[in-house]
Amino acid sequence: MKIPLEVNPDGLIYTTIIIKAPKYHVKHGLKDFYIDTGSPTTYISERHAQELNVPFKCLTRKEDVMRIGGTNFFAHDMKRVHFGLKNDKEEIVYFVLDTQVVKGSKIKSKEREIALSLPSIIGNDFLINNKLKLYHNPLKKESYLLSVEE
Amino acid sequence: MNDLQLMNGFKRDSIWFNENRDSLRDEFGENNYVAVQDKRVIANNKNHEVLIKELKGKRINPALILIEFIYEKGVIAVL
Repeated sequence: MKIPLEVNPDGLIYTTIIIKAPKYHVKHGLKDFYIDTGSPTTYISERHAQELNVPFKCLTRKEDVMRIGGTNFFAHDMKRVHFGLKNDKEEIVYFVLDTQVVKGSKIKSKEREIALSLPSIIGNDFLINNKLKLYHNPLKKESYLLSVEE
Repeated sequence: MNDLQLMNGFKRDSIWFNENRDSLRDEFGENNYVAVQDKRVIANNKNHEVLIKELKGKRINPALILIEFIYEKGVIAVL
């Protein structure tokens, strides 16, 4: 199975994902996620969580603090999120993953701005759990995910 | 509209936004959020929460629409 990805003008790899999370009353959402193999975890940004109307009060805050760009974020567990990606046969393929929502830990306006400008990320856990490998040719701006069985 | 149609429409808007970031920055200003539908900006605001409220007021579901932040010129996102 091959899942084509997009490469933006800065060379960052991203894809549009359908998000469904019945446990959190997220019936249907569409958001762009960047592929970041430097990130061990997949996470949904605070901004996207707000747009998806994720009820923060239903999320469990983890003790770990994530430090991104000098700002601290608290990770909140979000269980069994369904991620729908489009494959090269024009089919939507769904993957289920326990993920996290990151939320700014400070209330200062500058830090709130930073927190809200962060993207959502597909991390290594998504690739490992779903047995996917990443192909990327920056010269041709060609990128895709491939099942490891192939 | 089914999942595939929604996905394809969103992808078109996303590619359009990335191809037109510079002109959108000129038109709507930097450090601004824009909501894009059918390759046009339907709302913009520097405050994300205000933009969400505005969309809901127009009966547009923010979950299904592309909302992007226009960074300052020269700022490159590093992951």
